[in-house]
Amino acid sequence: MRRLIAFIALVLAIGVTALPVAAESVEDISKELMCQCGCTMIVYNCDCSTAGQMNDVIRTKLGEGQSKQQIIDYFVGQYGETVLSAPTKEGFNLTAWIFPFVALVIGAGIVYFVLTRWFIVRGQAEHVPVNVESIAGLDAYDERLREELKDFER
Amino acid sequence: MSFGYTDIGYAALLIAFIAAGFSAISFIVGKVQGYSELLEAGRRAVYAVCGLFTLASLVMIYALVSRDFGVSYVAQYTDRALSLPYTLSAFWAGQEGSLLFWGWLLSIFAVIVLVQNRTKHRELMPFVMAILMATTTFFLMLLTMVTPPFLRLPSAPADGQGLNPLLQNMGMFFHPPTTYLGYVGFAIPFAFAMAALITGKVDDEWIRSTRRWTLFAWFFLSLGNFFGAQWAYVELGWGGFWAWDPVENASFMPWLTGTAYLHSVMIQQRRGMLKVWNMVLIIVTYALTIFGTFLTRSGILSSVHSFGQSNLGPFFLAFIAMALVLSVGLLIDRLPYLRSENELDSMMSRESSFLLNNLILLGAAVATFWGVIFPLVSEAVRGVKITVSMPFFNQVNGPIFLGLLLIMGICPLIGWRKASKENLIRNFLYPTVLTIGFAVIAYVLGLRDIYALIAVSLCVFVVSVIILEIWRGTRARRRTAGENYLVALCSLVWHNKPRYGGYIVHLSIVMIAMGIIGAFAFKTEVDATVTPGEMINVDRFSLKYGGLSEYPRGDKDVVAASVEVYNGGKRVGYVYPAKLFTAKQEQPTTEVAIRTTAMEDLYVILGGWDKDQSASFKVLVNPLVVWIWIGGAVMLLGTAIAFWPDEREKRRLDARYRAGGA
Repeated sequence: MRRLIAFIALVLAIGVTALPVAAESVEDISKELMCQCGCTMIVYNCDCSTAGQMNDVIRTKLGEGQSKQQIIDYFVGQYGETVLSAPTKEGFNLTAWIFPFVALVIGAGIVYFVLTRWFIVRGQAEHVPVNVESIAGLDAYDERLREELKDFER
Repeated sequence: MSFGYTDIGYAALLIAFIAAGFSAISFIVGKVQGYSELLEAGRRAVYAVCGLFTLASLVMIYALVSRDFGVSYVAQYTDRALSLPYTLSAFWAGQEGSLLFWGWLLSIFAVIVLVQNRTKHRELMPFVMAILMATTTFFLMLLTMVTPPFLRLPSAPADGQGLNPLLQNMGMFFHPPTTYLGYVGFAIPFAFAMAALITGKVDDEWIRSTRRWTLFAWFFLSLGNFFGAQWAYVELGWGGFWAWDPVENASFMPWLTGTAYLHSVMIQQRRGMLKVWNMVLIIVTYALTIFGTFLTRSGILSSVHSFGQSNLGPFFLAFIAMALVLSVGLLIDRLPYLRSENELDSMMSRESSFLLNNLILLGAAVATFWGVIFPLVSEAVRGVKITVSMPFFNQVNGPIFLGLLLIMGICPLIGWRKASKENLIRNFLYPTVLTIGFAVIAYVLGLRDIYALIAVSLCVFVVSVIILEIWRGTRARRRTAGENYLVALCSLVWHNKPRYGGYIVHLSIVMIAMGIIGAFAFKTEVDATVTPGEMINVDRFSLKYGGLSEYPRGDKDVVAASVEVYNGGKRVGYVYPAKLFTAKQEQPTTEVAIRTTAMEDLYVILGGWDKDQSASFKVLVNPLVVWIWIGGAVMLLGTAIAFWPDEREKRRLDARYRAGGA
């Protein structure tokens, strides 16, 4: 079980770190901004005239040699933080990103605690050996299935 | 003022409000005080409420179909040009209508539950009905006092404002009713759970009597999500199917907790464990279904399809708060009754792997919920309004879903109670080897996106695990019963419907996952402005723009581009992306042209054009997207199999209960 948890943690870690590195293109910037026409879509996905204008601004500013951050800052200056399609990864907003994973880890802790407690209670009780699998000389799975099939016919 | 037929509708709702409230109270008083006459009166009131709701709904349908624009709701959501099916769909397009629809469904379900259990569950039923009727009363209060659906305008306009063109799509015809069937359906297991807590009869009776209601609700909630996604894909015209919009999240969260519940009740049925946890899950799921209705209808969070915004918020919040306080309070009070009947035999068992499955499903629900409410949190804490949209949900939920895929592969292969080392090696050796082999080959062949590589490999893992399991079952059945492989396979599934129905649902999840991976990781996209005769090249497709044409369609003006499609140099046909103009809407709507094959969707959006007939296009090649919809169909098949009455499963469970415990 521990190994399993470790593996899941690894998968989660890879998932978080494998996010694409930002490249400076209109597409990358327009994915980080919300269209301001009231459609609640990101600029990249919206095909309304407002999104078109915002894309033009991005293109012009990129042409002027501004960096992605400068352009995003410009839009934040214009519309406020609400123009960003996701919370920034700093200050209080960091809680938006961290909380789900903290909740998962706490949840995993609780599951682990509950499991061990059940297990310990079990261990203290009179131990009845469980013989679910591996009956000597028999194919365990086939045996289980045969039993189930026998049940069916009852 | 003269008496109109809509007054009949209003009167019906008002009487239903009184009857539902009376019914809820008389069930409780009748049961507690032992007045059987009151119980009978309560039962009759349930039929009356359903009849009155039906009457009010018929009045609404009549108002819509007869195009009575004197009724404010009809004028707001329909017009003369609207076709009959969409005129009917206006029933659930707006706030008042959809609340009426919600309540109507609940009153019908209440009658079905009453009839189903006429002679059963004498202890539980009065409380089950009281809870259902209390929920109905809440919706009737909204319908009679807060948002009455039959308000009349001072004078009838010549024509209505019409239905938002975005909602004029078959996906939108089916999405709300299926989602609501799911939402309302979860009220039944919730009511049984609460009745079990109130009466102290907390054995598995309530779970057994609601297993099929739970599947029913889950089935329709899944269907609702599919119709919603399909609508977004063909109608919103941005090339995606899921935007993590608050309202999409609203129906996704109860789906996640409902899925967790669907799994964890199995542990209670088989092993008498997780009783408290199942209560928590059904309470949370019920609260989320009400929260979902609230999110859609309150407009508290701006959303691409908050088509109704109003002052409903405080009422819904108060109702949810009351439901949560009462049910959690009751749960805490009854904790001593909810002792586990068994302990864990081994850390490596089906039970523990189910807990892990629950953890991940709940994790996804918590992450989604947190994203949905974070703008409110930010505003409350920092006073700054922020947005939480697609990039957040994709990044946070992506890894969680990978974990879910993994656990979906592992879970079904770990035996109940205790998995021996031999069991693990036997079940996991081939799938693991196959998966690693696949991953290596895919990497060598050029799949370098680590996210996609892990995801696809996990899909291979899950599929191989399920196929191995089904193969072994079929082989064993063939040996014992002497049937040929096909017959053995069919009878294997038929004789264990819940189990193999479940496997089929798992397979469908893999299909959906493949579609999502394809669309996210392997999408190709080109923006281009071309003049007639010019080509756009994207992936292995070449598109030759022919020109524009304009023609009327109903009350709309269509501007369509004719585009000839070549696949690898071979002409395969034409597509006609278009823009639709209506007099009543400022912005035109986009009609995407989609050419679907099993491998990929060619998705062509007409952006705009100039006087010289030059036009701009956005062309996407979305690999494997069709598998999302196929997966949806397979999921429904699997659920239907699991739903089908299974005499043997019933006998097995009866035997377990007779044995008194595990």
